[in-house]
Amino acid sequence: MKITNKLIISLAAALSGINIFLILLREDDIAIYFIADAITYLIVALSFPNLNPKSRKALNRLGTVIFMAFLTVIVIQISAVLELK
Amino acid sequence: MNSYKKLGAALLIIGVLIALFSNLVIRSVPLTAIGLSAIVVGLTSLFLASSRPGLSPEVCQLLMETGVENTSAILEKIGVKSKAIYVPRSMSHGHSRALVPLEREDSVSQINGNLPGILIETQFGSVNKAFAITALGNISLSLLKSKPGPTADEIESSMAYLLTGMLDIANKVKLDMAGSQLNIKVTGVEIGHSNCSYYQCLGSPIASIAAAVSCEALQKPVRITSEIEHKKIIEIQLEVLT
Repeated sequence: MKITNKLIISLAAALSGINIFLILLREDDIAIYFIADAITYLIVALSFPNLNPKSRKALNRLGTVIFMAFLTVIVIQISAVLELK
Repeated sequence: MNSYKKLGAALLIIGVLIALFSNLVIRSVPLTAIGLSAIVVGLTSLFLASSRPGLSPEVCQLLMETGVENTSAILEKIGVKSKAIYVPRSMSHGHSRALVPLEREDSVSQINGNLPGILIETQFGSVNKAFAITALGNISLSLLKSKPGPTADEIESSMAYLLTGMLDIANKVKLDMAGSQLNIKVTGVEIGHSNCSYYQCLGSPIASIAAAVSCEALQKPVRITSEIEHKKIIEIQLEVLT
């Protein structure tokens, strides 16, 4: 099986696992789901060190986009907590 | 459109529809999360699609078969049956090559003559002529990020980087170093062995890569002594010459 196929399957399996786990915990905040998905993506992308440079570059570009979205969600969450206080 | 683009586009559209419908219409957070996950997987597939080569695998295979057939025809014509000796770049004026001895299977301890040419003279006891060929393994060295180190772990890791990552033609590489013998086991092999003169002299593409990486790492000439293929496993034995 090609390494890129393995990566997509691993990512799909990891994201499904995380979502099922959070659903079982009765989590009702979409931000928590997004944060968990973003962290999962970063971990799975890093766990394939032998990818060819072109694929690595493509994954890094997407990783940057997801990381920026992750930081935005974190900032929104922190400001919401500060407003409550 | 390649399969990664199709999969990515389909997952992206389905993900956006699920996320919008579950968030705006039925107000279900878990279903919205599933939509988000589908978007992440879809985007990954779309980004990976741009990294696939423009040439189709069929064209690449045709190009490789053409090269193998032409080299086999030359080797058959000159009646060479010797096993090639892979020499590191430092021993061959900066070009990694495989030397096929024309007369005797002697070790190549010193190279005389003009290496950029095809026919060169090697010195080992007496003058011995050899055919200098750039094999697939020699070319693949340019794909390595840095020169491989001389330990078994470093050689194994360089081989794994090329075979399982860059070229994606195997699943796992295991290397054992015992004196001047290197035993390599490659599993999940996607490229087979053939009985033509090219493979008999220079080894299969996987053995060629293993020999080229080993000789570059150890800075010594290396010869493929045996290569056994069963199912999707190749066991390669290399001899390090001094």
